[in-house]
Amino acid sequence: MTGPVHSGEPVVQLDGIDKEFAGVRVLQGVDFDLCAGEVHALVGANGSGKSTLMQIVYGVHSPTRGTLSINGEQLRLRHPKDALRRGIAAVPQELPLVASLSVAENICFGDLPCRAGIVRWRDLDRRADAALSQVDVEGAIHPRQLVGSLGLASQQLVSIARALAQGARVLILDEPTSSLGPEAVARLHEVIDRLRSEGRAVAFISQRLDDIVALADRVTVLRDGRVAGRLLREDVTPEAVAYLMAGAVGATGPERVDAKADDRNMEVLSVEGLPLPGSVSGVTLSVHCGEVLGLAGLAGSGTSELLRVLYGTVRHHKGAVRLFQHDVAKWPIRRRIGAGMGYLSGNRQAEGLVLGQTIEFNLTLALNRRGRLWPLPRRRQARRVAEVMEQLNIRPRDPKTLAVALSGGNQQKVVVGRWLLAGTRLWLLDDPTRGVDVHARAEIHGLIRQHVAQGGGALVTSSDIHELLESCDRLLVFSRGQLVAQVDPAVTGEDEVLALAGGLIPAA
Amino acid sequence: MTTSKPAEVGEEIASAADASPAPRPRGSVGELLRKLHGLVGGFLGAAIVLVLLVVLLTSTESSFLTFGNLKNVLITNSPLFVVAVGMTFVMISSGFDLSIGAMMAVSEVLLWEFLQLGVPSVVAIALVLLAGFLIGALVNGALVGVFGVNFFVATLGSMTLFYGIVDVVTNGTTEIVSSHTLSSIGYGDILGVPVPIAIVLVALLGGGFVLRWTSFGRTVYAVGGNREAARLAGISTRWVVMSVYGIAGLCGALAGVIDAGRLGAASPTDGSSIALISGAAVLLGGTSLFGGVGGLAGTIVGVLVIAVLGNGVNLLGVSNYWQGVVTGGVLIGAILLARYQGRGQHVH
Repeated sequence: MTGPVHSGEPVVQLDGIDKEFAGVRVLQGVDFDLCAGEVHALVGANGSGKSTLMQIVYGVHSPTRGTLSINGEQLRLRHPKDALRRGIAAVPQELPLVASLSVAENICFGDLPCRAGIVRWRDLDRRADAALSQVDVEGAIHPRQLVGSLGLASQQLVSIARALAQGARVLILDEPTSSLGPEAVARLHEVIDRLRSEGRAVAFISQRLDDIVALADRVTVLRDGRVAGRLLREDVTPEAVAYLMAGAVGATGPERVDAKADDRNMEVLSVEGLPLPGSVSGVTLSVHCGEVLGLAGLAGSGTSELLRVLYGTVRHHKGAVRLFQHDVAKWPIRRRIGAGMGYLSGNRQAEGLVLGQTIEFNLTLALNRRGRLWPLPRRRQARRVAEVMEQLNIRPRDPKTLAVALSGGNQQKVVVGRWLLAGTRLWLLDDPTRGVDVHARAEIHGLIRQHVAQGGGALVTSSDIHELLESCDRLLVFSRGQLVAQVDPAVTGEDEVLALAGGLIPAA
Repeated sequence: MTTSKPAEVGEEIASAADASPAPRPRGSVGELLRKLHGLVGGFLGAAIVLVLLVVLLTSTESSFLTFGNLKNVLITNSPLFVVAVGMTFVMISSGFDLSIGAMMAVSEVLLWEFLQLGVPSVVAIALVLLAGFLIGALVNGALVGVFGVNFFVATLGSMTLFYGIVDVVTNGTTEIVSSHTLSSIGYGDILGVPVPIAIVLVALLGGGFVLRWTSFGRTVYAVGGNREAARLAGISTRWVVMSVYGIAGLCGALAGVIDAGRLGAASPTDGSSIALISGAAVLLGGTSLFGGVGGLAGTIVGVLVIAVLGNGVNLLGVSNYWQGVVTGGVLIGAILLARYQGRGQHVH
């Protein structure tokens, strides 16, 4: 075991932790510790046991075997409240906020300053302000604002402020950056830096190498419920982490297979003067056969909205959208799918999957969209489902497995597989690798590549510009709803794209 | 229905389910257990309660397990069965139809009106069923599916509206409905099967087929499980919602026709409690109030629990006033049992 970097006893120490759920071993002999004034990153593929380990630290689960010590005292936490009483708080992926209440109420929730049962609003605001000032560097969040009116990034800051207001000395952040744009990520990094310098201990789960490289003092890598390796500050490089995470799988880009040259000339999609919020002239673009077209932009740049408009979830009155020469601008989603368009939402759990149903149900959802009253071609569909599951390497391989039981990466493969199974030519993919481990990420990019190599086309957005540069044939850069540049990923650097997206370089 | 078997093995299966996702027991026995669990998983609590009730009543009341009594239980509860079929569709789509009982009263009064006008009774029945479907789809369905009104508010409103209209038409009095066709619906046989039971069988088989074997059935589950995901997969959610409330209206009207046949009358207050009772039966049968999961197999068990319970309370000579207490208590117990049983499956 690596000793702590910082002097002094660890605040939290886990020794030889085993955790079983109904006889299934999720963690096996895991040692983990956390010191004041350090950031300890916990990384690993989906299903490697990261979240479970952290849940043991903040009192959601008790270990089956092994010990948990806080400030040197060995004890058992029975509830997150026990953990909180000892200064341990968590910010889970699904933020525990009430959208219809104010920021201040959320921060002091459960402990509102009262006199004789009547809330003292001024005290409340003052306390909330104090907590907010520690995380909201720019002072952009007002205590009286409704949480529901804030963006995801600000909501996350509110959750952290809430943990601080509850007196947390130890903070556990579960994939805090997975759904943030580059600006918000940078801001969050700053906040975490500050928490560290105040002597707090921060444990964070992440799948993003850039987070880890930027922040971590120590890294613990989990694989299949065991510690696969540890790194100290000076050894934390993207290659080292990726190597440990995925075993043999490196962070190499997908192989490019060029489609035939004459196919390249065939337009799958052409868009003219499509209005986006904030755009002046509207967006004009086209996608050809055999092409992966990337859409890059900061949060709020309109790339996700563009995909939704193209798919017909939002009505638009101006602009032309042609799909294989059909003018689909006025078509409903159902007809667009029929003409060869498929959309993957950036939020697979809320908008992609029917979680309580099986893999098979979810894969065939678009196929069965018409809702006819005659018998389903069950055997034919089952065969196609088996083929697609094989091709996408979806695990477990049983098509009757419920979607809710799958890891994030496998859930994502199911929503992508829906369009593979339907034989859809044009894929509109909103952040297809969000919250997915390195291995599944490579597989999904490989799948997109294979799809376009067979004559399809794809429009892809991502919050990770590096990833777009690696996986796309052409990249369109958006800034505030405006298409500002087209760049060639082969000769363009991440810095340049970021500068364009941030409006630092005026559009050519 | 032989329900004792699944319930017995159910206990063992519940522990097998706890062990998943560990490697499943291999071979045909493990596979069979798994399949059985998939089949009865959602309504194990109700199945256990049903078996207990049957055992209890068989051992204490000699008149319970007789052909005549069981036939009577099924006939008496045939409107509940039919209504529960419609309610299952609505609840899988994550809705609820409070107006389904009012639709019974509407259909009876409509039937009476048609017969008054001299419409042949077979035609009148067909028209009433069509009207049930259309009213359900165009009132409840459109409110919920097109205008986005909360299902509780929408169907509470339509229930009040329907009973109001019926009162206006009949001046609040029960009207005599007599026709040869109707009395044969109430008391006739088809191939030795009493007509109400035959209607129930047709409704269950038809509904079961649609839910399980057609792509329309899939869209109902999808809309209930995740409406936005369904929309983005190209499903026309408003059509699905309208159809589902249409089916509920159709089932309500069909139950009304059975009642008119049984009672020989059109009652403006008929069905006033059946919406909630059928909802309880569907819940007992493992269909979630949040939609997306469940099915008619569970609904059969759920309705049978309520039916046998009512019959048992009668046979044991319990006072009418105590019936509600017993029924409510057992319902809550069965639902708690179902929850307890289901807990093992939700841990990762």
